[in-house]
Amino acid sequence: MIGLTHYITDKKFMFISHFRAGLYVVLGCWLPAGINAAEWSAEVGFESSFYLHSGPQGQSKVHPSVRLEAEYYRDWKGGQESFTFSPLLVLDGQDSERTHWDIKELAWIHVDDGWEIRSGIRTVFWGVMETRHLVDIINQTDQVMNFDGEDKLGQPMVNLSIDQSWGTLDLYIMSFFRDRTFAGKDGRLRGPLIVDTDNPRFESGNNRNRIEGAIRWHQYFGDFDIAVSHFSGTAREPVFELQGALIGGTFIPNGMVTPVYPVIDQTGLELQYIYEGWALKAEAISHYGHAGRYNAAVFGFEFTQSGLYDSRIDLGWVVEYSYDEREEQAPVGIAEHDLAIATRWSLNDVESTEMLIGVIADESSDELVFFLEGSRRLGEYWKLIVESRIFVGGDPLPQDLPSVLTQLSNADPDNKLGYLQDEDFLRVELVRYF
Amino acid sequence: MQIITKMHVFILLGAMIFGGSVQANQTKLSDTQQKGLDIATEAERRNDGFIDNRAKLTMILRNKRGDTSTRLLRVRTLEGENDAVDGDKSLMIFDSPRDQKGSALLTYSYKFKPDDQWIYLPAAKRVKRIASRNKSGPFVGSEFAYEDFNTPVVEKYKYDYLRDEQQQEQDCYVIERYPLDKYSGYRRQVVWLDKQEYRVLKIDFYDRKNSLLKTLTINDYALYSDRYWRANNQAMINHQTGKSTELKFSDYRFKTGLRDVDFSINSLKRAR
Repeated sequence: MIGLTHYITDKKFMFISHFRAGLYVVLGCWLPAGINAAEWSAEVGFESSFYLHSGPQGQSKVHPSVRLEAEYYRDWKGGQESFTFSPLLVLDGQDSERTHWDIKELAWIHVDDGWEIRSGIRTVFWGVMETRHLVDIINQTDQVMNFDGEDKLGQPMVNLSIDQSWGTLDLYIMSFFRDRTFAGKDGRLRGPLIVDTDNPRFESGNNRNRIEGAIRWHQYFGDFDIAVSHFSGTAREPVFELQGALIGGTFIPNGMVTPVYPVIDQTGLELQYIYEGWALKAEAISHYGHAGRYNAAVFGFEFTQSGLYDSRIDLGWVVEYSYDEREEQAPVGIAEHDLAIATRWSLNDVESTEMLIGVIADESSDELVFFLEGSRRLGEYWKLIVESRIFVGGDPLPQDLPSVLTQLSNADPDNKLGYLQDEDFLRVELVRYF
Repeated sequence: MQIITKMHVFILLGAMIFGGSVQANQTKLSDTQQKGLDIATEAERRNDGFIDNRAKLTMILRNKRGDTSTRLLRVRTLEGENDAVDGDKSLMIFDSPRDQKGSALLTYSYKFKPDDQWIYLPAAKRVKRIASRNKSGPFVGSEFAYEDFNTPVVEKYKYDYLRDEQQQEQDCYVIERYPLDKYSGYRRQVVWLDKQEYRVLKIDFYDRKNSLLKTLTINDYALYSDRYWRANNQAMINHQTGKSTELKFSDYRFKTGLRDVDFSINSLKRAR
């Protein structure tokens, strides 16, 4: 045992030292003298998701996982040049699709007078809303990480950012498309059909190597913020094609779907107006792809009551309404006319205790999704994060394949969350920071 | 007296812009009000021309039982270019607690309107604008409110001179200042400034109900560039909760070549 531990420790050490040595060699070639700061930081998350029911296809109620995330940062020339490397590794006890790794950041930033150039793998966020990120499109969603879709995969790019009195203009050239991750056979929060992530199809003849472009202009005038953006490339969100075989002239499905990534053009608009404790916000997109054009919008406000009843507590109200022009033709999971109401509680204590509690309601059906996200720091190096979703008002979908297919081909627009009715969960993550 | 005349014009301008929401005394100040304003103006004048500075900040949060929690920050300040309307720009970067490492807070302060504030959330790679009204809230769980951190701009208060008094064994002016911002968490503040250098040594903060809320004691001043006094130590005690927060500044550097681009929203995403 001792020998083994020793061996592992040694090996780990060797890995790190090799790795560092390698990095120094790589960087050493173009790193001039005068390095300001170089640092490593890391976090390890121990997570478990507890589901109220077993999955419709017999998936487990308990899903433990470990997440390792690190960051190396170094800058020189007084911060004018910087380099960031941030890898992610997730090991999931149940779902082999959720066991994955990613390079979230591997980028060099050069800052100059009024412009900067950022090259490499990066994560970029666009938008102003809280419950739905319509305009955000640069990065692929790391769907297996979290149901809320806020986790992203690193996107290779060159980004020129021009910062002038007339605003900030960002130009992006991207390639090496990242496939969306999807829960596997043993994973939860998925539809009845398995997404065949190993065999995606692309509308673009260059598959993942299509050169994509994006542009965004952002400016603020006093309390008013505006951003206009355009993206041209492969959609981050696939459409699905039923898999199967033709046997004797009859299509026999195999229970899987192929993700198909179309080529799209999407124009986005972001607006925000701050007035005293209010933030009025809106995002809108116009999307053009294989199935024509559609528009969608989300708008609402965030109002914060600072120092609730003379306490230290801040209570924020988030109200957002989503509209999708496709209405009932909108794919499953798309908020075509949904209202989200949430309260954000910030205790402003030493532990930075925060909680977001809310509900998303489909105005035309009885479907409701209750959500809770909370966090609290435990000492200097630990943090507890809890998250929960409860799905109410939909009818569970049938389980046998023929009925599933009938259901899907004749989907009930008022039962879009039917497939999630047994997926109520509580997720607890304990994070250690290094 | 030229400064004072300029002051009047500014207050008047401010009152015009805000349609009278600024309850400044545009017409005639009483002798003690005039003296209070003169002292505040002189204190600000003595800090003029610092251009920019950088410092490291350790915050020690202490609860009633004496348990402590520490935060490490770096602070950068750029003096406003246009003295007539601009206040300073400041950037605070968090190194700890570790879960907030990389978060940064950017503030543009103005003389006649509420500050603009943005926060960078590194996990989401997102810059979020903060509604200007929410400045009376506690800063990262400490006994300091957001508004306590901002360099006080003369035009944001009205003043009254109270008395002369000894504080930290120095002869001091004691003045009272009333925030003009209706969303300030304070009704008034009593400020002790030493007569020699016009450095703030102590502030009593009175809440909206006019009861004593907090006391800030500032000491261990050091002189930089032969002109600018900066305190290495600030201690805020909350009388209503028994909690306290200590600020320890170190590695002060002046005229470090910071520019507007180092305080842009774009730069917030890569602030280190």
